[in-house]
Amino acid sequence: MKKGFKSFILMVLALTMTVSLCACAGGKDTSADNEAIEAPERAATNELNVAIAQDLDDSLDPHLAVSAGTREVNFNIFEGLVKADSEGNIVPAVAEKVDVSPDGTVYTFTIREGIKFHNGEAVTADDVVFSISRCAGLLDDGSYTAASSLSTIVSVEKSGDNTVDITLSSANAEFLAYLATTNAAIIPEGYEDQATAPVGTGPFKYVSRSPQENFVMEKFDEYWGEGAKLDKVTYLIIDSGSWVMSLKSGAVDLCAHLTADQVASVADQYTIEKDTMKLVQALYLNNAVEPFNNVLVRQALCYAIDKQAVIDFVCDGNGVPIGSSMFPAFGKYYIEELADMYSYNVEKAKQLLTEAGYADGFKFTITVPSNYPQHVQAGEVIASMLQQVGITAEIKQVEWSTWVSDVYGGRNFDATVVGFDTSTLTASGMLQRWTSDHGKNMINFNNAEYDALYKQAVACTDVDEQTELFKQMEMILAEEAANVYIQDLYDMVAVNPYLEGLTFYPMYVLDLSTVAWTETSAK
Amino acid sequence: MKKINWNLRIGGTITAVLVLLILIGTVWLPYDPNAMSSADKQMAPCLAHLFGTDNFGRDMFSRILEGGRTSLFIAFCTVAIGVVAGIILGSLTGYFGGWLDELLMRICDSIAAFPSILLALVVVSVFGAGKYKIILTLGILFIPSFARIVRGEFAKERTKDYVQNARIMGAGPLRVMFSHILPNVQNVLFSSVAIGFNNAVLAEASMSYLSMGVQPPDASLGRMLSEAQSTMFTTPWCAIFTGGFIVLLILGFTLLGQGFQEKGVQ
Amino acid sequence: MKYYIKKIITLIITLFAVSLLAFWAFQVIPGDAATHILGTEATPERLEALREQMGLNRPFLVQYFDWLKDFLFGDMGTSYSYHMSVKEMIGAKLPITGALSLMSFLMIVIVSIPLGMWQGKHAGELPDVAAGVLGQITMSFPPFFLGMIFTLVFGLWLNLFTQGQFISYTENFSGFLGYLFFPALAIALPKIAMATKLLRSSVLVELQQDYVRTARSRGRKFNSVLVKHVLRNALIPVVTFYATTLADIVAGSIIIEQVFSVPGIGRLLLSSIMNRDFPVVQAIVVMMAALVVIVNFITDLLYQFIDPRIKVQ
Repeated sequence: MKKGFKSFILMVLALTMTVSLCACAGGKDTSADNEAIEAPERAATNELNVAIAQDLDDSLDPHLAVSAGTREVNFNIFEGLVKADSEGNIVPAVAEKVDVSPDGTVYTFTIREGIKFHNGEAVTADDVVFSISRCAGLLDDGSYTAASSLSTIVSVEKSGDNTVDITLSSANAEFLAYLATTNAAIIPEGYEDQATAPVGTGPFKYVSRSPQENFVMEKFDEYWGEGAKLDKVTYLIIDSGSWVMSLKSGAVDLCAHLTADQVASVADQYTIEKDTMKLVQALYLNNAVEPFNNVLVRQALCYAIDKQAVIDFVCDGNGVPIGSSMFPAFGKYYIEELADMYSYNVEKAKQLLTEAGYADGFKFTITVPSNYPQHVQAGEVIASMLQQVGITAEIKQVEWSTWVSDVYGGRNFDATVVGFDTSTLTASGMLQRWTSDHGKNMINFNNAEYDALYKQAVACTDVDEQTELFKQMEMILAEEAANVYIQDLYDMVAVNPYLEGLTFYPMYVLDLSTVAWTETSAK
Repeated sequence: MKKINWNLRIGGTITAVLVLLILIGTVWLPYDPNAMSSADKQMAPCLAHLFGTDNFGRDMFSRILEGGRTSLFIAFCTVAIGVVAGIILGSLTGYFGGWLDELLMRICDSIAAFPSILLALVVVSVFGAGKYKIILTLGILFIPSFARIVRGEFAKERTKDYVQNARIMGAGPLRVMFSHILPNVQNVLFSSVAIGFNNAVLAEASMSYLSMGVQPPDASLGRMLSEAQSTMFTTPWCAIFTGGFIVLLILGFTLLGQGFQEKGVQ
Repeated sequence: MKYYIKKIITLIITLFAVSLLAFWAFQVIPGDAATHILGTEATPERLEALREQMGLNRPFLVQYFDWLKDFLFGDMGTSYSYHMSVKEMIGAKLPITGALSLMSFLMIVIVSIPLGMWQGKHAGELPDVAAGVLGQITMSFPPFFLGMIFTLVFGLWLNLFTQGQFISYTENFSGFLGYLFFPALAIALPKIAMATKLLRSSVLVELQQDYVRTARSRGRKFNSVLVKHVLRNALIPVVTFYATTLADIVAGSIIIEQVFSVPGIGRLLLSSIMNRDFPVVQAIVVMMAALVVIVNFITDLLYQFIDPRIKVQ
């Protein structure tokens, strides 16, 4: 009896203590840890630690890499004949000069003199012929599927000691942009281990990797250009749930793609750099299913959703509202006014629904990939907004692989929230996918005028005229309310205040060659 | 002087309070657990929101009760599968013995020796995640431990006088097994049921923490805890209350299990 | 002797069954290795050719024995995601998870034996009751929640380790062990509480035995009786617990590695499951299963050694 009672009292005491300890633990954060972080020891040896959530587990071979995360890293190791600069211009890389035939079908590239691969060998015309043929699917071994954007290539030939001719089936004003991605990187011919020990021509060279642990690269001393400022970069593979901890502990100096909550936790200690993510987040609607085959319903949805409220909610206001399949960083193609085409108006939405014969609303499912919190949360906010106009939207979260096979591939969905980006610096990268016969036209958008404009645009060799045509396509998407466009999110990067030189690109890459340690803190 | 069974009392109280809260939660919650509100973002615990709110202004108290419901539902189903199959297998083998007994117990031994998380992960990797798959997997994994316990008890009881008497009176084996022996092993059984609940709650939370368990939109304490990990500095109460709720739930079941064990011994 | 032979035969059969099950499980899923390698753009002809080449068209059992043979000779195939040999990958991760598990296990044994003895000796006194209560609460903490608390308290506030900056064993061995200390503790703590509780009650039972009284009446010191006689007997039920703990530790490491960003077998297993990288999953599962079965076997033998009474059968 006595012992039991004692233990009862003690149990109560211990529980109270545990709770109060936890409460203290919670209270402590406001008083401590708010000072800006110091430069780590590795700054002295000019090394940098970067956190990434996803290991590079599709392939280290640049022609086979498909995930955005892998391409983001590859940008530092590989280069195409040309590459993109931070302004979005196409600049020479492995080729120092390009000449285009008057009819626009033959491109002659002159290989940069003295340029070398990471293994020390000089880049030859044969390497270029091999690389381009391989990623365009022209090699006989048949083991590599063509990148669809390079399928216009008819032949690749060596035309001189250091020149290569690429012949296209028809003129294409955007062709150089296709070559500017790491999916069209120049790699050495006859090198077998690209998938495990990649070799390229970029400012950094591959050193080592350990699955689920890290990926290490070092400065390539014989780089043709200005070269990297850091001597060594280690990507640490850390689950995004542990990013805040790893930043606070100082294990990591730079971490991109943070959510608004994560930024709030580290903003006192780190410099937060931000830029738009260059993607189009929208409630993508399957235009082939009831009731979304009715343009009035689609427009009603546009009126019923308050974009700015979604942005405030999901991203703490860190996003730019948009109105079509184009993002602001694409300056010349972007039409700002489209964002306001359907201003938030519940009455108007209800009226349109009544007109369409859905006065009592309807039910549908929003399928979202569960690994993207910003899309899941946007979907949840949208669902609660739609309730106001009598529409019941049920959120169905699925694994990414399921999303790819069912929604993206199988087109078996009502609506989905995701972000679409483009791997090439071209407007058609964003617009081509909604042409009616395109294999990845997941929303089943079918508009004859749109298709015709696209055909016209790709055949067009005059850049201004082409831009105008692309803009008309964007207008159609907006007017037809093909999707409920929401925003281009901000990509937020936490950077150690002793670092400088981070530049953003109009595509999903993280260039580390310009980053350097400094003596002074930006905080 | 009769010794008071404190384990049973404390465990029973904790479990009763939590289960009652969760049950009330199935019919009424202070807030819609998924309703977001920008005005109520990141509120510390207060009277309006007992456990505070998260980054989206969702009420943590309602969310935790909803997550607790999933945990409890999964625990209940898995234990039910384990108990029913365990009693059938265990009573048959324990009562009759023989080569079937030997074989089944060997199989049970090898399943029981295996870490349940590992097997559950294998199932998830083959069939995908989800509430019912988790239930089925954990349920099957729990069968051996129940079967073993029931078998042991039956083997022990069948030689006792009251069983012999019943047999002589002409009771059939089924009748002897279920209306004579079973009531006598109930304390042992209750104890293992409580431990089973404990294991099921822990396993579900762990699987969901690894995002291999219950899938959204089903709420889950484990997943809530893994989400709370990156907001531990801005909204620490999310992690504390969610974790604390799991701890209490497990504590309640553990004590209850020990309490029944003591009761069985007395 | 006959007993040992029987045991070994059971061991082999169990291992065999586990490997067959693991192999079969990954045959059930839609899509075979060929579809994984070629990706979604594969043509039926190419698939057929690759299947032929990889021998995927052969009967199930033939494939199984072939795989088993390769596995036994150390060829575990190639990872779909990393294009590396699975053996190499696992080989690099094994020391990490091995060290983590071993540390955890040692913590459990080293802390629980003296603590359990001490609590048994002082049963009913206030410190014993307090420790009992504390243990009861500790037992209820899921390891991953403990891990979260540890990263916060020991990692950030007390700065005892740098969360996220794992130190490889090839670089700095003591730093490596230092980083693993808290993950190991997070796994061990609930188990320490359980083992202590078990040992304490087992000591209490033994203290009632006649031989203790006899020894005491012969004038032996209580502590020496405790260590020389009681411990050996009291440990018998606890040894089984230690053995089952080993399996739990290995399972616990899967979760804890995620919390502390430790790049061990567990993280590899999880990421491989997510990527559907089945050669890796298969190899890890079979290895873990084998480990558990073998440990159980050794425990059985050990059991005989410390408790001769079992030998009868």
